[in-house]
Amino acid sequence: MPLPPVPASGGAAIKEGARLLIRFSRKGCTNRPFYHLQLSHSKLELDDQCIEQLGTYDPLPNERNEKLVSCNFERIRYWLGEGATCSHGASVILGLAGFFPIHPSSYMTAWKNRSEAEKPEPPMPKKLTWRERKKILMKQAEDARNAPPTEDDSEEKEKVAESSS
Amino acid sequence: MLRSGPQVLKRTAVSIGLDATAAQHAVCLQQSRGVRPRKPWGLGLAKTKWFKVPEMPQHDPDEWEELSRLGHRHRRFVDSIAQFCKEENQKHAAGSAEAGQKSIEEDAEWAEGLLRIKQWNEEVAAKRNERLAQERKMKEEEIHQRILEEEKQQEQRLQEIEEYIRKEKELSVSYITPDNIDKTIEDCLEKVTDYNWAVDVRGRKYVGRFVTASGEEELPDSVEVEEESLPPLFQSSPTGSSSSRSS
Repeated sequence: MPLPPVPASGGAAIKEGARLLIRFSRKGCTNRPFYHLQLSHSKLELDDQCIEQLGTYDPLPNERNEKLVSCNFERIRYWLGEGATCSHGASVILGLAGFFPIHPSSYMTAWKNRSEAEKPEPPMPKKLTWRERKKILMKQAEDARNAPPTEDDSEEKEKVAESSS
Repeated sequence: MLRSGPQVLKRTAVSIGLDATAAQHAVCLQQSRGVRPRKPWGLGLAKTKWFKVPEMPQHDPDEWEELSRLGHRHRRFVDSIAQFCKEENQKHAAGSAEAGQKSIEEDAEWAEGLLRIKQWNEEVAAKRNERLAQERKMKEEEIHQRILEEEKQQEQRLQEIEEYIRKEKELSVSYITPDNIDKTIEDCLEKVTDYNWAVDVRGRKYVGRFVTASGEEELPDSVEVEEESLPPLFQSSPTGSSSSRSS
């Protein structure tokens, strides 16, 4: 028998001596990620019941090209005061939100993106059709046939004439 | 091991004192699905990998230094923020005067926010009502237009029906009715139409049959038709037609 779903808003008991962690847990479905910013024990599974939900994060941009994040800063402040720590992803998002200083990995991503944007784009090689390829080859053959004889050719011819005589 | 499994099981079962066959215990030897068979740990490193030196990740020293500096800085900031929050919590728990002052300020802010939301709602409501009135007016116009169009179409349909009735009435003069059926039958019997005729390329019409019903051969009568009156498909070439005319 399947277990009843745990409430997403939290309500799990706080164990003594366990590390409190503010982190994201995936709550969407297949091909539709959605995250809850939640406070839980660091040793618990991501789909276990959390202690408290602190916010949401929608990684898919909406029609205005926005990735929406909501945070309950009052409660985050309270739990930070209680000794909670942030996971990597949570500190990045909180840094972008202006609650924390910008995370170093955000800086690193920005450098990478900037350096890639500054690189000149390599020209796309045009894919020829067989008709165009044939045309080019025919023209090359024609040019080779019509080209004036070079010095090497004339020398060779002379050599051939000498040897034959 | 897998091959000698049943025997082992049998032996163990016998030694334990159970009278179980290998077939009953064969379930234990089946490999469970979804578990990838691993290499035994005792085999050690493969021969081909003995002298393989793994490539170590290369870091730009300047970037590495900068990142570590930023990391230290970030950690220090976060720690200080956590410390600040902790002190705040302690103050709140003690119920200090500052905390009380803060709550009064927050209440005032909340009330101001509510007031602003109310004003904003009113502005939005005015805009919405205006828009709704405009939409209602547009809808009314559209409905009126559609009624007019429908009326026009209905008129056209009535005209078409009247035209059809008029044509039918004109045609009904030649209909066969119970009054004139006998006369029609007599006419038909008198005037027998034979459709058994053929046309050649020149447009000459051959009426009748080559062999009569009694078995006698009968040459068909040909009817000469003027070539110019024929459709262009049956006309011969212009030179030919001129020569035929001259002859």
